[in-house]
Amino acid sequence: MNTTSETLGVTALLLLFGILALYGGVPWLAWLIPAAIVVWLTASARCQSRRDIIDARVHNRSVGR
Amino acid sequence: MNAAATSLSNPPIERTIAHTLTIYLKEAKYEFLKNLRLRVYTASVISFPLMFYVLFGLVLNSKETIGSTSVPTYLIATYGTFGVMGASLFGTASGLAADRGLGWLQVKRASPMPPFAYFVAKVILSMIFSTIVVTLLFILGFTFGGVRMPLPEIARLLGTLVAGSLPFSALGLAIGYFAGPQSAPGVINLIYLPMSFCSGLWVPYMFLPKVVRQIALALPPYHLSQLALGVVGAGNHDPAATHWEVLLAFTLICLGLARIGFQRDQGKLYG
Repeated sequence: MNTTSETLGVTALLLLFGILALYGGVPWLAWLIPAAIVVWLTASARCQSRRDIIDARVHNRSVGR
Repeated sequence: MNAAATSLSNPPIERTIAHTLTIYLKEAKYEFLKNLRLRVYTASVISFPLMFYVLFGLVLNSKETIGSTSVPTYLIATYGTFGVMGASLFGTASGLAADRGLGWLQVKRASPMPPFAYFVAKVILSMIFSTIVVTLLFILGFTFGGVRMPLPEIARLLGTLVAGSLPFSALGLAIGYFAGPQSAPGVINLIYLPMSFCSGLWVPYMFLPKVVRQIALALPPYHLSQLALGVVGAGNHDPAATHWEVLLAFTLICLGLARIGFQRDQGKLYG
């Protein structure tokens, strides 16, 4: 699964939980908040790994010089 | 007995869509006017990003570039994010905390206004002030900083930043429900200023210390600023979808917390 379809799936799931929490009340927040925290941390970790790859490339290039 | 119970119960109010829309618009209009008349709010929310922009973008570094982007253009995106954050946080959190403290929410609750209208008005207010801040930054950049951007790019940047006020309005609602009227501005500053610095809104992301750069990746303002920088061609080339994903997750967490605060208040007032 590529990043875009993964993101779309996650977004749809979060929006579903959001709507359920809006109409279903507080019990649904027990699903919404942990799910949103997981998504937040996963996306941040994805950015971190991309940064690490870019930093490693820059470092290798500067060592090569 | 039954007739008495029926007359005392709270029957749902039947309204047409047009009538409901009018209530929402009027609430938003008067929320805007109320905040426009609060000189402290207007002056601080609008003048801080402009002041920083003039100092760092126009006076000190107007001829410099960051990558291939000129500093005045780069700083429209970052100080735009800073301005949007301030307008949203102070507009929602301070107002909500003060209204809760003064009992104004109970008065509103007793009126036939839909409860949701109050929150929608706060969000619209944040968006209007965000638009004002970003537009003034554009005017300064175009007039004194030599910023040149095609119209579609301006519209995209403005749209991105104004849409980015939603997560911070949601954070403002959560703070407004858990902070007292006196402590709300302090709590906001405690979150707003460190978050802005760590997200690379004052000092560009690549010049931050490594530890701070790692922290930035988890912070919502970083993701909004990267979306804005992506529009002017100075982003970190992460997929925009990932940034939106973080902002959406953050918005829902804050709305969830605000909902818990709302329920807590309701429980205290009505049992």
